[in-house]
Amino acid sequence: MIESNSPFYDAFKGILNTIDKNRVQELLTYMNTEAINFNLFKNNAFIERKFPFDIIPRIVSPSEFAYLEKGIQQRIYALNLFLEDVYGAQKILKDGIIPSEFVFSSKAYLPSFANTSVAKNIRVHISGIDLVKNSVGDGWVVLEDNIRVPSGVSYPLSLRMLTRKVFPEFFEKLPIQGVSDYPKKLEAAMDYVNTGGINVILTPGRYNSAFYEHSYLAKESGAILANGEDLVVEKDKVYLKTYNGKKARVGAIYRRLDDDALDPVEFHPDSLIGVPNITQAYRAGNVALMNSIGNGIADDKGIYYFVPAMIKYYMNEEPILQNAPTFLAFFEKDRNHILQNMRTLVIKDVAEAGGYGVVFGSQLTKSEREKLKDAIIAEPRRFIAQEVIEFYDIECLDEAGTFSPRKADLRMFSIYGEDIFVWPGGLTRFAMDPTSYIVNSSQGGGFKDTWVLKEQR
Amino acid sequence: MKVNFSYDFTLTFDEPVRNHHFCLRMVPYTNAIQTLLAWKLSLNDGVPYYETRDGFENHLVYGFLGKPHRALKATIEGEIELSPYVYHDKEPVELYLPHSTLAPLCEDVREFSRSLKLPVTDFRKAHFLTQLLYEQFRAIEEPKAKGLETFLLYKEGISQDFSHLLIALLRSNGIPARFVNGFIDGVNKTHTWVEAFMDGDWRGLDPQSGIFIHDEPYIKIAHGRDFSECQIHRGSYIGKRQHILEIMGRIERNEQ
Repeated sequence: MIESNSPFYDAFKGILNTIDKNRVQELLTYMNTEAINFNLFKNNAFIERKFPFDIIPRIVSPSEFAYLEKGIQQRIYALNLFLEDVYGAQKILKDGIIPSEFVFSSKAYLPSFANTSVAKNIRVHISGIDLVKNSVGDGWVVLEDNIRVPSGVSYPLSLRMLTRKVFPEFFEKLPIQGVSDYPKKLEAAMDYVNTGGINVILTPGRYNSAFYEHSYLAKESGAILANGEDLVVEKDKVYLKTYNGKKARVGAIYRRLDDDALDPVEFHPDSLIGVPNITQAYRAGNVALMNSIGNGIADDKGIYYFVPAMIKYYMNEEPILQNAPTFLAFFEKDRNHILQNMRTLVIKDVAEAGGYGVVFGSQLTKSEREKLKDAIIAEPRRFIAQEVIEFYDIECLDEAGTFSPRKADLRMFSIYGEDIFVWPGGLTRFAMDPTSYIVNSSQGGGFKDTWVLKEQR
Repeated sequence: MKVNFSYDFTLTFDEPVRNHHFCLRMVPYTNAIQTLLAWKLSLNDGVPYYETRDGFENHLVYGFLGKPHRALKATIEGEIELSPYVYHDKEPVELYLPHSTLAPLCEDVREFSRSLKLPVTDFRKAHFLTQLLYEQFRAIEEPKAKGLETFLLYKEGISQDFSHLLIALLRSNGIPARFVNGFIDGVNKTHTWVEAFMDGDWRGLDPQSGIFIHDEPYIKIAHGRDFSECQIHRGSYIGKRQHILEIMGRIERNEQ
């Protein structure tokens, strides 16, 4: 079903009809010049790939954004408290809200970082929450919390810049909220947690799928873009090596590396892109890492189930945003439900990310289904199942100039500094295949800009 | 019981290495049964070091040796007060129930476990398993391959293998167990053992000698869910990876 009943889409199409279609080509050329890529690794080969985009935006009304903003702020606040707790006093486990076994058996929980305090008690500095709008009942549903190293903000940001240039009409006629202050908010958040020194964005390098984004954010936020080898731990502090041989103290690092790659002394010894002993400087409180180490336990697909309970437990509030109906194979009752309703559920392997390990029960053959059942029985902790959500399509404009509907989700970004800033924009991802529900960029999906409208006076 | 101890650690490289960032776990652990009264650590060429603690409360010493070197040498000596090996601490016991990477409940461990007829209580189970490892397995210096599969196949392995297998067996019987790195007098290798949580206390089990540790002088350095979380040396350097590790622990009773 297409989300098209909104008057805003009609207004958009009205303007689009007055526009010379050749200018779409112009926009495409600009996007290519900017080299907006989402690189892929497939079969051990590096593919530098354009990130396909579509010019029809997702349009979010002012009241809808106000609701999402509140809901996301609440969720991030609770997730941050959960991380502080689970790496500290562990009250939520002692009070039985979350079974401790559930946390302790997760690979994402890093007990060697228990009792490490972080600057300003903030751990979820940058987050990307994935939502879809349910065509049944029209409500927003959270699918995933990404609070380790979420990427994607620069794509709609760049597309917005270029769209403004090529199609100023839209921005003259529609009350669209500006998005360009994201890097400034990032800078403010880095300054807020900075322990003394400069701000750095640590990138795995140009082969990373989101390298474009790393360089973009560094340029716009005034942080230095650095590879692991540009940073060094001396005594118990982190320094940036500069070309003249001098060293500059680093106080905050927005790291775009997974925990595992961050420090070969602490984590994976073969990591060549990390910074040796950076975790010791972090433990000593001499550098702020954004996001903190060990956040994976909070966006674990299994812990997701407990987020509404966390909100009630820590904040004594009712959750504003809803989860998709989820069943944990870990609980016997849920497990039986999953085993009996395989055909109608989406089954997810909690250890996988980026759309890998997601299986639609309806698409399995009988023997595949039996195999998965055995796996669920053998390792219940590994699996969750969700009801399939019939989320809205948004139209795409194809080369022939016709509209065709595709499934689309929304990743909304927030930055936790002095307060929690929810970006009035977002990455809308759509499935390339009109019949598919999988929108992940690493699975070949494309993206759209997200226009949040202002209240009109 | 007060003892004097010394512990030498030497990492020797075939060819000089440089830009060596290291992190050492070699300062004895502080808890209810070990009180560190005095200690002094020195590194080769007086390389400075810094201290911190990890989430297990293991004491970390880290630093940087930039110039080319053939060895990293560290010596610690001091005085420690040891009490009988029964204690508890603040860590959540449930952390040590799930299986971990180096002490997995793999098919081989499962099969071995099935072949055993275990006594009823946790204490007797732990004792039985500790004795069993001592009687059926042999300690060697260089195993054919790493991991519990090899250890179970050839019935021989290094100290870590004994501890990891005992941990996997204890956990699969519902007994929380953790890996301990430390030393005993004179053994020319790091000695590892196991702590098992029974009746409200952690107790020390040494599967290489088949005993429940009581007041024998065992000095604990670090613990974790398995070896990967409490290695004596972790480092990153530029140079050939091959190296030889030598360790010498000495413990003497202090008669005063």
